[in-house]
This record gives sequence, C-alpha cells and structure tokens, in this order.
Amino acid sequence: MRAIVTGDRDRWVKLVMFCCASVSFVGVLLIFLFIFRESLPAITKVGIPKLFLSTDWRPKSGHYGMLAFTFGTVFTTVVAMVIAAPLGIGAAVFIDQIAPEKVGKGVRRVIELLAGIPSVVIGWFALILLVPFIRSVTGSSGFGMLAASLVLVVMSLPTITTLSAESLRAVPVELKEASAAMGATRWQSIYKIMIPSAREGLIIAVILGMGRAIGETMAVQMVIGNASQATASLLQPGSTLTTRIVQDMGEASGVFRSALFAQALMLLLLSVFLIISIRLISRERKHA
Amino acid sequence: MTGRRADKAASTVFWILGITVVVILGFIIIEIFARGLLTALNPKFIFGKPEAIKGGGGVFPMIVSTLYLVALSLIISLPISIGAAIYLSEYAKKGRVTGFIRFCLDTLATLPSIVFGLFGLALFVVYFQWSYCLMAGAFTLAILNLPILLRGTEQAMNLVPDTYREASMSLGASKWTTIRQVVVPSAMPGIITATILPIGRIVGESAAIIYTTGLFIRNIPVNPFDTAAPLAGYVWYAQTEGQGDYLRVVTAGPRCC
Amino acid sequence: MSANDNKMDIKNLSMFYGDFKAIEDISLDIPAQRITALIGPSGCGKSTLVRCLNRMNDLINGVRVEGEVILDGENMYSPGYDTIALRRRVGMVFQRPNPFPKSIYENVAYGPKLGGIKKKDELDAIVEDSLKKAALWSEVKQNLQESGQRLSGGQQQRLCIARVIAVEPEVILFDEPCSAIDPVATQLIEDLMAELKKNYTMVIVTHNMQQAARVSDYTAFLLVQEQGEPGRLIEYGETNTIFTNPEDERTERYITGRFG
Repeated sequence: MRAIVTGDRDRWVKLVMFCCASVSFVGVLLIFLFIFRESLPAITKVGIPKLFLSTDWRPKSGHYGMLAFTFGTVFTTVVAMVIAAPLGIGAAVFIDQIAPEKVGKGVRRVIELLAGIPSVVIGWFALILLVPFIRSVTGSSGFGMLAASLVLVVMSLPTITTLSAESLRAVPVELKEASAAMGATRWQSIYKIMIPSAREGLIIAVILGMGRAIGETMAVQMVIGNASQATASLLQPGSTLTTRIVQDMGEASGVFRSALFAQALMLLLLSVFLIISIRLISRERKHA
Repeated sequence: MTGRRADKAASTVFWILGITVVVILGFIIIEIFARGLLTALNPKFIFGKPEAIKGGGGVFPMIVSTLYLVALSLIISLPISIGAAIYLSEYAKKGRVTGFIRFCLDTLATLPSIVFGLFGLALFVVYFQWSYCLMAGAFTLAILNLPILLRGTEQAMNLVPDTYREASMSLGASKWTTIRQVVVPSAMPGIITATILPIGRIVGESAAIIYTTGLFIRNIPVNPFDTAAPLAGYVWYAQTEGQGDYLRVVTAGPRCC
Repeated sequence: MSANDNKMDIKNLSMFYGDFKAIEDISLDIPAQRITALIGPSGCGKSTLVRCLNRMNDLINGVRVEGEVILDGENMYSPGYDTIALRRRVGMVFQRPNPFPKSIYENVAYGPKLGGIKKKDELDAIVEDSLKKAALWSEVKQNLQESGQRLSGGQQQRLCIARVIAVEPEVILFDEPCSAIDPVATQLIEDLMAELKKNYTMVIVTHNMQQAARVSDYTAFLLVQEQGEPGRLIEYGETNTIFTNPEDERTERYITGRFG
C-alpha cells in the first residue's frame, strides 16, 4: 500500500491561507504605524495638549490645534444621528413589518441605489440644491454645519436602514406570533416585542452609521464652508477632521502636513473606539 | 380602544416615514440622472481629453483610469480574499486568534477612506517611492475593500453544503483537494456576486485615491506605475477648481443594483 | 466462519464525542464479499459505527476512538495510518444523495482523477464501467455532460454509487441509502446491491428491517438501553437466524415491532 503523506501539504496550505487572513491584521498594523510615523513630527514639536486639545488652528504661525475639528466631527455626526437614527430605524420597521412585500422590496432597492452613489456625487448634488435652499430659507450663506449634517444623514441612512432591517428580520417569528396570539395589535407587537428584541442590533446599526458619518469626507467638504473655528451654530461654516485634511493637504508640508496626519490618527482612534463599543455591547448581550 | 387607535396612528406615521424617505432619496437619484445625462451621453465627452485650465472637455483618460484601477485592485484583492475566506470558513476554529482577525476586519471596515488615502500616500507613494500611480491606488483600495469582499466570499463558501465536503473526503480526497476542486468551484457564483460591491466602491471612491493615484492627467495611463486620475477623484478636483461640465452620471452609471 | 474470511474485524470499538460515549465495546466481523446489515432503533449508534469504518468521524472535532478496526490484518486506527488511502479502499454512500454540482461525467471521474488518472480514454472507460455497474449507464449515456443534480433522487443515489465504484474500493459502506428515496428506486438499489456483492464487501445501515432481511447475509442489532447510555451490540449472526430465531429477547422485541 502506498503511503501518501498528504498531512504535510495540508499543513502548508493552512499556513498560506492563514497568511491571507492575517493581511487584515498586517493592514491595520501598517496603517497605524505609518499614520503614527507621519504624525510624529507634529506630536513632538507641538506637543499632545496643543495638538489635540487646542482650538487654535493657525498653521501659518505654527499653531495646530485640532480640537475645533474634532468638535466639528462630533457635532455634525450627533446632529446627523438625531435625524438619521429614527428615520433609518423607522424606515427599517416600515420595510420589514408594515409595508406589503413588493413595496418593501421597492424601498429597499431605492436605498441600495443610494448607497452606491459616490460621495462626490452626493456632495455636488448638495452643493447645487441643498445649499441654495438653506440660503433662501435662512438668509445665511447656505454653507455650514446644517448642510454638512444633512449630507451626513443622506450618506448614513442606507447603512442604518439596512442593518436595522437585518436585525428586525433576525427576531424569531415565534415571538411576534406569540404576541399576536395574545391579542396585541401590530404596532404593540413591534413596539413592545420586536424592537426590544432587536435592540442590540439596532444600536449597532446606529453606531456603524456614525462610523460612516465620521469618516465621510468629500460630500461634507463641499458644503461645510471650511472655516477653521469651532462652532456650534448650525448656520455657521466649520470643519471636521476629515474635511480639514482634504482641504489643506494640497499645500501642506513639514509640521503642517504632520499635523494633518495627526488628525488622521485621531480618526483612526475614533474608529477603534466605535468597534470596541460594538464588541462590548455584543458581549453584554451574550451574558444577558 | 386606544390599542387599535395607536396601531392605526403608528401605521400612518410609518407610511408617511417610508414615503418621505423614498421621495427624498428618489428625488436625489432622479435629479442626478437628469442633470448629468445629456452631457454623459455626448461622445466628445466620453472619448475626449480634458482641458487643463478652461475646464470641461472630455474624460476619456479618467474613464480608462477608473477601469484600469478596478482591474488592478481586483487582481490584488481577490486571491487574498479567497485565501482568507478559505481560512476562516474551512480551517479556523473559534478562538482568540479568529476573534482578533475579525476585530481587525471590523476596524478596517469602519476606517474613514481618507485615512486609507493618507496611509497609501505614506507607504506606497512616499516610502516605497512609487509616486502617484495606479499601483499605489490599487493596493490601497485592496486593503480598503478587504472586509467587504471577504464578507461576501466567506458567505459564499459557508453556503456550500457540508455534504459535498463529506462526499469528497469519503472518496479519498485530502482537505485541500476538496477545497480546491469542490468547495471553491461550488462557491464561484457567490464569489462573483461578492465582487459587485467592491467594484462599486472602487468606482466611487475619491478620498482614498486622490492621495495615491493622482488628480489630473491628459493622456491615457498605460503602465500600472503611471499616474492616473480615476473619475471620482477628478470630479472632486474639477469641482474644487471651479470648472464647468459635470460628469455625475458617468460616475452614476457603473453602479450595481 | 473462520477469521480468514473476514474483510474487517471490529474489536472492542468505543467512540466518544468529547466526554459522551456514543458506542461501547463493539466487536463484530465483517465477512468478505457479503452484505452485513446494522439495524436498531434511531440513535442506537449504527451510523456512528459505520462512520468509524472509514474514519469519517475523524472530521468531527473532539472525537476519540478506543479499540481496533482491522482491515486486511492492519488496524486502521494505528498511529500514522494513511486515512486518505483508507477511504479509497473503503467507500461510502450517504443517506441523502450528494452528487457534486458538476456534470455526471465529472462526478464519476472525480475519484479516478484524484488517483492520478489523466488520459481521457482511460477516464471515459472508467466512467462507463462504473455507471454500468451502478445500473445507471443506459439512462444517462446520452447526457453525461448534464449536471448530476438534475437527476431524480433514485438516479442521484445510483450516481453516488457509481462515483464510489469508480475508485475501485474493496468495501462499500451504505448509511441508510434508501431512506430519502421512493420505493421503486429503492427496489432498484436493493437489486443493485445483490449484484455488487459479487465483487465488494458491503456494510449497510438501515432502519428498515424488511430491507435488512431481504438484502443482507449477516445482521447486527444495536441498542441504547437507556437514555444517556452508549449504543451496544446486542446480537449478531446470520440474517436468517436473527430474523427467525433470535437469541436475545431484546432482538426479538425489536424484530417483531414491539418497540423502535
């Protein structure tokens, strides 16, 4: 009988495949390393407090405080979520529970279509339609935090809706049937049973929508006005971490450039923070 | 009967919600198509070269750039994704290592595309000294697309019934032969579908490529190490420079759905 | 029945899923070129046992085996034993027909190709021969390039049998091969098995006692005495004897349908 030693080949294959899978790890590591490396000059020359915690952004005179933009990112994202979360979850409930199947499919198609539209296209569209609209209604320039937030709503809506719909679909049918069998109306079943059951999934959907909003660059940059002060007023122009980078990167060099990389580092940390939050929420669910 | 009234009210609210969302989104989509369509279908536009200072002109090099970029990026990411998917679905056991890989994949999935762009700039353009070129963009996009492509590929493999694997192994095939000759071929249709989303992403991606591939060119890129200007990046560039003619629909065109 | 007539000897075989013992201390002869049937109520361990005979249980995590299974004088569970070669010698037909999503031809050619046969004429000959032996050739010879999954259930199962035959095994294991198939197709497969007996040793797991009585030469009856206990061999002997004059009372009760 031939003794074919195939065990070795299998082990080798497993190693190769594992290397492919670890591209994910290597990728994250490299990204972190190189972004950090490029931000190092700014971190050492300007110092962490002045870099991350100051709102003083005057690159020409060597001031690189990014806090105004961190605030801009957080502010626009929060405002966007206040609108997009109920809208998205509501749309998901609509698609999954309330609309007849064909209508639900149609709405889902529209949302998928929207998800595929490139950022620059949405941005341009906002530029020629949304900004003048805001201008005519409020008398301001039209550019600013409001326009930016609304753009973010449009961009994060597909994510929130799709993931929420998935979470709702994952709720076992038996739960809804049990509720209906007890005489609850459709709305009561949704409100008291389905949404609480899908709660973790819905929260994760919103968090991922936030991730999308935080990372959005082009569309926001076209309508936000690109001012460098922090502002909590919806009608004033401002900047986010992402828009500042794309606005200034073209002419930046030396420490200036490095400061922009530091902003990218900030974005990296924000993303990791979001992922960790999601993990914690999921873990909590398993222990519950 | 507050229960029933509330139900009716809720239904109405949700219908209004649903319709509003559809109307707004539909309006956006229709407007985009309507405004760009005429320009997009003009042959001079599609096949001409862009004007440097005046603005307007054609976008042929941009279209070529985009297609080239899609091809290169897929050539890089498909093998890696399939390999990683094979590992995760056929070899990996539930444990800390697998959990950690998934954590890295999730992180990559949420990272802003501009971070990828800056990373690509720092690594490929500067450190490797490739300068602005298609290869830099292709590699950057390959990493960016990894979580997306992997999700679809892995799902396609998980859908292959275990009974095929059993049949193959019971005939005396090794695990790798089974994967190569039964699992992957069976999963092929699903894998191909899984590339649609990444392709859409590549076509529409701007922030990640303006720092790696290039912004404006007059001639068609030939060598993968040539500078190129994919459409999405060019759109942004043209708009910032305040030039005329917008090519929205051409970008809207190559979208899956 | 002398030991030399046995293709396989099962000696004190026990199998564990982690801590749970699925079958315990089973000793059984598998005579060459005969059909041995394993019968018993659901969950008694007959499928588990038969899957030990080609080491398919190895594919499940956490499985542990004690005892020996001797094939032609060698214990297949000895360390370093080539399981790939083993599965070429001991083939398996599964409960649900599972042809690959490939053409009929490719399904049957899969095994020989693994063995290194590349020439088209050789493969053609093997495919035709195997399909003939599986009583399927006349029905599919015009459509060899069609997908194997387009066939009816009974045809698919015969395709799977052809696929196994193509590898030229010495033993063929059948794990409830007809439970997912209609009665007419079942009859065809039973006739087929009687033919195959001439060249192969066969072990068939079945929950259909009449089938066991019709088809097999020897029968083994397994039983789980109480919930949580492992499956054990209660009685084993020539089929005629088992079905007309069983020794053990439990065997008799099962045969006469008083339980299971």
